Amino acid sequence: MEPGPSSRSSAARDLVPAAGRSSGPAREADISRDMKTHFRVCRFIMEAGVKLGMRSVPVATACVLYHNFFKRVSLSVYEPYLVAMSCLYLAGKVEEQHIRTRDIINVSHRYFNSGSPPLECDKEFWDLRDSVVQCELLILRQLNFQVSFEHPHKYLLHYVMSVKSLVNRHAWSRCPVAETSWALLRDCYHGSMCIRHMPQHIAIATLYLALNSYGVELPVGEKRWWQVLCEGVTKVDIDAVISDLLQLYDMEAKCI
Amino acid sequence: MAFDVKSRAKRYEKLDFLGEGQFATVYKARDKTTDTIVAIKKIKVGHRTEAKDGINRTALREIKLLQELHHPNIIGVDTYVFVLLLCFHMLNDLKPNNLLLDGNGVLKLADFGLAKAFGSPNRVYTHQVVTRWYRSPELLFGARMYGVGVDMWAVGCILAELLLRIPFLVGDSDLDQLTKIFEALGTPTEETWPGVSSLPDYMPFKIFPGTPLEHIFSAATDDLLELLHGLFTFNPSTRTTATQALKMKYFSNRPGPTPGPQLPRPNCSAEVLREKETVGLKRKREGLETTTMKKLIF
Repeated sequence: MEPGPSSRSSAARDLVPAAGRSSGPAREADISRDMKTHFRVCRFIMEAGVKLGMRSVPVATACVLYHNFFKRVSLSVYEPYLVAMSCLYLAGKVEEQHIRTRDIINVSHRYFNSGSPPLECDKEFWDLRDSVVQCELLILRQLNFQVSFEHPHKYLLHYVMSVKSLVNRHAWSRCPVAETSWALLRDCYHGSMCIRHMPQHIAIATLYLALNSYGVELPVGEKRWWQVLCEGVTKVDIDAVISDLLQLYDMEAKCI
Repeated sequence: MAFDVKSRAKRYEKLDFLGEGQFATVYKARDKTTDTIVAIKKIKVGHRTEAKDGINRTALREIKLLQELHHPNIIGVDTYVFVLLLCFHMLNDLKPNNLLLDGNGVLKLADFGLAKAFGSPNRVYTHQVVTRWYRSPELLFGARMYGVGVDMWAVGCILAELLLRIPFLVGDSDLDQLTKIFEALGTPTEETWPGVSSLPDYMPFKIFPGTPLEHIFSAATDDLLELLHGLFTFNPSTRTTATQALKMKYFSNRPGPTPGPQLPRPNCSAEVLREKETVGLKRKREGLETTTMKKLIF
């Protein structure tokens, strides 16, 4: 059981930097531990996002906000799940799919305390609500109000449509390439790889991996299909994305 | 992780108070590092009860769009903490208050709080947009699916205002606004505007014949009347678009537009000052400066 925000006596306290935590040079073990935490928190963001009825892009924005925030501050200073709740809230505003704080709190509460009744409208609830709102401003300030991002989703959609027209109709209908690449794309948001690679490269790499997984063959010409679709992308770029993604899958096994 | 707010705040010297809106206060200021005049739009966070929902969505939308847009006719933006800095100056929607001229006479659009990026063109939007006097008849009839036509109607109203030197269609309620529009331009029918009677808030109005545009704008040339006629088309799908407007004769006939830097400036010409007194309206000086322009820059 992860310690969720709702299990704290005073959620507002989480916004104040905690004293006495280690702040020395991050060691290998720390990095690995942080990656696991981020993985779990992002899993929370995506699950909560689905329960809140959020579309793919707003959920992706919430994850990008989260990773960008922790690129700037240390995980030891802020409660990651509170940051995640605020990221969901802010992403709803950024992507014009407004989500109410009450819904975010209820969904999160159920996530951390499955089967328990929703929070009463008492002081704890209002403190938590205040924390979510205050943390939103903190994120905005840390990110210098840079809150709109270009996501790989639109590129992937375009690439899938183009590739579909190149592939044998029967081979295509046998393999769920579109579904798989979309799922791979979603999984990229579990780690900071989603902000380290270009959106076009992530899109082409997830499609590449999906096609290869099913052994779907594409016509070979002077240029490879991915060079035709995405100008300037190299095999090294694609391999880098796939390597990062496989590392995330490797970690998933350790994060259960 | 210190926010260096104080040193950044020192970069700007507040010179003047320019205006106050629902969500923000605007100040004139000087950027000491570049020695340029900027506007500081300070978003009101409000007290606890107002700020309970966090950052205002309208404000966030504006910040986002200004960061994405780069165009010589759109004010630039530099965000820090709660303060937005907009080059030269600014003010919600398409109306004279939100049209600014910079030192070189270049028109700047400001205030993108209600602007939204194009999603799918027929997306359902709120109909409570655009200050009433500049609001198009489809918005007043409660249309939820609207497009660029609403902006072109507003452009028509602004153009008319430049000619008349007072706002053209001044309604004191939404109903009165429609009455003013129909009195001036005639009441639309299913023939002139197919689908009008199926709009959500449609109601039948008294049939006004309307006044010919050349009688209202007696000093306007034929090419300008043609443009106005296009902009004041009731049917939004046949209303002149910006692209069509720019191809109209008005924009190619002589005389050509005055180059921006040569435009007369406010507070430096006795003529303008005299005009200001005679007009005697609480108009913004940008508006006045614009009235002396020969041509509108879109």
